[in-house]
Order: sequence, then C-alpha cells, then structure tokens
Amino acid sequence: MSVKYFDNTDVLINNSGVLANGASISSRNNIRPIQTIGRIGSSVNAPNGPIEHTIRMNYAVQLGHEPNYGIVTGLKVATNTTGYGPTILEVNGVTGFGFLTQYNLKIEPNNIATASAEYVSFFNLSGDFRDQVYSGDYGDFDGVGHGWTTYLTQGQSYSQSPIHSLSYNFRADWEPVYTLGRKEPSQILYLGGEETLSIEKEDYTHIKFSGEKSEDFFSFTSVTGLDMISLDVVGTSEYDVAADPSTGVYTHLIIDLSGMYLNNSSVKAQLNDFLRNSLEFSKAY
Amino acid sequence: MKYNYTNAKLTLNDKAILADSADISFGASLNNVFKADRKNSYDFAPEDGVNGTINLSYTLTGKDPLKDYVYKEIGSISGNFGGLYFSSGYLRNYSLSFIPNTPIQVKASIDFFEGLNGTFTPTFEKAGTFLSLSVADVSLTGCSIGNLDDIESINYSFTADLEPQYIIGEKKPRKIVFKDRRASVDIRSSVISGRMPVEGIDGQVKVTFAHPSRPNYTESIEVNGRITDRSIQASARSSISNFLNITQGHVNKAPIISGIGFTAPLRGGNIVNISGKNFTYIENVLFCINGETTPRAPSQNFAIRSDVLIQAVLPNQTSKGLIEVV
Repeated sequence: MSVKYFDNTDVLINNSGVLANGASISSRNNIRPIQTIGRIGSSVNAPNGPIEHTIRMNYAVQLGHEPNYGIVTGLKVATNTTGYGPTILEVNGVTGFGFLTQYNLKIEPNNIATASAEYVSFFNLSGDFRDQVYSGDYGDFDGVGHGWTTYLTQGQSYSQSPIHSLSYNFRADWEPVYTLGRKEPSQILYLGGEETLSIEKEDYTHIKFSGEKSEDFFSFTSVTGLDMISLDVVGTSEYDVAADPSTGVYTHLIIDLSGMYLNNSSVKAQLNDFLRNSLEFSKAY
Repeated sequence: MKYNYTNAKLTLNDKAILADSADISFGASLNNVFKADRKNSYDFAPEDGVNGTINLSYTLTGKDPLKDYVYKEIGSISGNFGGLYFSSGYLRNYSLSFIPNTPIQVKASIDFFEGLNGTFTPTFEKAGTFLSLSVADVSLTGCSIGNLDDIESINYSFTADLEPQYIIGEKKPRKIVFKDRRASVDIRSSVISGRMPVEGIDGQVKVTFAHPSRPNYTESIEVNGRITDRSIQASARSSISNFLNITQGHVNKAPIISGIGFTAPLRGGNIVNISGKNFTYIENVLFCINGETTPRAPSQNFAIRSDVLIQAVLPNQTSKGLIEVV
C-alpha cells in the first residue's frame, strides 16, 4: 500500500466535500485491566465501556456549499428526538455514521471564514485509506466567505456596526442508549443543542439582569442574522469590496441569530491595543 | 512488614476468586459488667459468640462459586485470606450487576460465626489468564417486561436473614437457621407503563451469560416474582428512565407435583416416586398419616434424582391423602 498525502484525501459529509485544511479520526475502546487480590499483574483485560470515535475537520467555508451548517439548521428545528438520522462521514476512504457534537464558525478581519466540525460515532467505522476519487460534491470551489464581506442583517439593510471578530458555535447533546446483550447502542437520542455567538466590539456594553435579546441589541426589526455574501470580481483582478451587498447576484450563507440572549460581557485592556469588549449571546434548543 | 493487595490470595471453598476488593471484620460481643455497689466497671463479659463478615467484590469468569448458596441452605463456605481462614461461613448478601459494555461484577457478604484461624502468610503469585463474562453477551428468556433491546440495566440481589443457634456450654453455634431468604431485581427499562394493580404484576426474568468463544463459561440468574414498585424519572437534557422492581418471596421456584408412582404397598419404609418440576432445591416431602387430611409427616428419607423426579421413603402410619413437597 502506498503512502497517501493530504492532496489525495477526500473529506466528505453526506457525500459533500469541504475545503479541508485538516481532518482527524480518533477511536478508542474502554479496555481495562482487571487486577485482583493475591495476584501480581492483571488477569484479564475486559471492556469497561463502549467504542467511540471522534471525527474532526477544519475547513474554509464555501458560502453556497456548507454541509455542516445544513446539519446545524436541521438540528435547530428537530422535534423528533429519536428520528434524527446519522451523518455519513468519510475521511480518505474510512467511513462511518456520526452525530454532530460541535460546529464552529470563525470570522476575523482580513481573513477567510473558517469552520470546524466535530462528530461522535458510536458504531464501528469501515473502509481503508484509498486514493482520492472525487466522488463527492465539492461545489464549485468558489464563493469562500471572508471577513470583509460578512454583515449583520436588518431586513435588506446591512449593518455597518464595527465588529472586530466573530465566532459562532453550536453544540449538540446526544445520548446513546445501550441495552443488555449488545455492544453498540440500540438507539441514539438527540437531547438538544445550544448555540453561542461571541463578538468583539470597541464600545462597552452593560449586561442586564434579565438579559437582552440579540434583536434588541443589534436593533434588528425583521430578518435577524449574519449574512455572509460571496465576492464579485470586478475588472480583471480586483474584488469590488465597495459593492452594495443588497444588490447584485451574490451567493449567501445566512446564519440565523434570532432569539439569542446576551449573557456575558467582558473587557480586555492591554498594551498597544484598543479596549475590546467581548460579548457572548446564547440560545438553547 | 507492610504488604499490598498482591500478597493475600483469596479463596472460597479452596477455589481462587478474582476479587478486586475484600474486607473482613470480626469481633467478640463484649459488654461491661456493672456491679450494684460500683460506679465504674473494669470487667467485660461476652454476650454473644465471636462472629465476622467478609465482603468481597469480584469479576465473574464462569461458573460462580457462590451462586449455589443462593438456592440452598445446606452446606457452608470456607474462606482463606492470605492464610487466615474460616471454615463455616454463610452467604448473607449476593448481588450481580448487569451494566452495558462492562464485565459482570459480583458483590457478596459471607457471615462466619468464629474467629479467623491460621497466620497471615504473604503470597507472591503472578496473575493467570482468565476470561471475563461481559454484559454484551447476555441473553434474556421468559422476560415479562420487554425484550433485550428494552433493558438498559439489571441489578440482581439476594438477602438471607441468618440466625445462629447456640447451645448452653458451647461457644460456637450448633446450627445456623435461615429465616427470610429473598431475591429481587431492579431493572431499568425503556418500556414506560403506569400499570400497578393492588396485587402487583407477575414478573419473570432469566438472564443467561456466556462467553462468546467459550461455551462452557456460562452462568444464569432467575427471578420469578411480582412487580411491586415502579418509578419514572425525567430531567432536562436526559432520556426518560423507567425503573421497576421484581421481588420474589422465596429464592426457589415453587415445586409442582404432576405424578405419583408407588412401587410397593402404602406402608412406612416403602419408596414412592414423585414426578413434577422444580425439585432441585426442595427441603422435604410431607405425607398424611393416620387418616389425617393435611400432609404433616416428613418422609423418612428422600433423594432428589433430578429437577423432575424425587424418591421418598414413606413415614410410619402413612395413609391415603395429599403429598406435599416443600
């Protein structure tokens, strides 16, 4: 078997590829040595818990092709806790069923939008390393999100409120139900999720005892969210950063931020920097 | 000289036990003797015999050396802990836990009514190779509360109420009387029900566990009783848990007679064959004598040929009437 390199590796979520700059699979069992009275060493190594796999990936976000956020939006509206199916994951030919536990989207000035996702699997994986086959849908390899084309929306208006960095996180809780007589769970329950939005601003925000809704904080009146739009290339080689995002044909990735509550405000002052106010909003599902 | 856990080999009935913990406590029941004209007492007098308890926890690797003592009252258990030994112990508590993806763990308490004999002699043995039984390899039969995919955990427990009987002039009990002996299982299940009639609900469960690659490494426990308690618990960010308890007033299944075969006249000393089921752990066979209608006279002797056949010797003055197996 030949060595496989990073440029020969597929990272697929439900057969949709992502522009990954890193991916990992870690698997563990719970074998425990049983040590007994009157004996030196262990008599037996016995399982003391189930097998679990963790699959992680980091990638540049394509605005028209973001399979992990699609799973997040599905979980945010999920009502049947027992009927939510697993995600089919593949890293260079190693495949398995996974359940999204963490999704993180990071946007910083003068940088591309990056995301990371983490899945947990309670079932055995299959497959082996193989050459890239491009069997997945990778979109058009275009429309990568950037910090300078990310806006907070208010209806069709795009807020210019200065935000120095932004991080969106979604966490999902799962409960594998293990029953007697089997090694894998008989069912996986979705117990709920929680999303958090962390932003960094230059003006101070007082925290309120009863919290403050994201709509009120950002003075939104209708559509509430974070809108990342694709870049248009103007001329021959320059991006039109001054283009009006509400006009023209752009690819959008809209993150719904409605209903979140501000619950954390902290200030950081340090040498050679302006004062930064970090705010955190959250919402449970 | 201080020793560690590897230096005290533990055996029950001369068979090694893979115990991961054991504690032994024992003592004399002494009390101060007060005299009428004295405020203080410097004297002690025994009020009961010397007795002790060994509590141990071990991983099940096959046939359980203690399980037979759950079902039968006869016989006692000898134990040895690094050379310190007792010769007549009696099982007081026994429990088995079945938790998914874990080895099957046994906890037991054995009472003994004597001090520990012998001297502590450290051992230096290396661990051998054993196979542990896993909950992943259990099967359920005759379960009245759902199938295997519904059962998230089972905890089986047995308790015996022991009473030593002493004879004046002797320091050791002449006899150990087994009073109440009960078995119960606590089950966590996904089957949610609120049914609970005043007479309870019949509940049966038999758990058989076998090593997948060693058919001879097998063991089972069984409870046939009544569901007496249920509870349903729900809290945020967790699944709904449904618990129920099956209690059995006696650890053995009730013996049932289906046929009687006389090979000789109905006279004391002759033998009768009794067929039926659940005879393995019976304690006596009772007959009617002198024309009475209630069987009260015990058999002169009896032999358990199998779980379905007993041979009993008729008592003197046996008369026609009912036969009872107890």
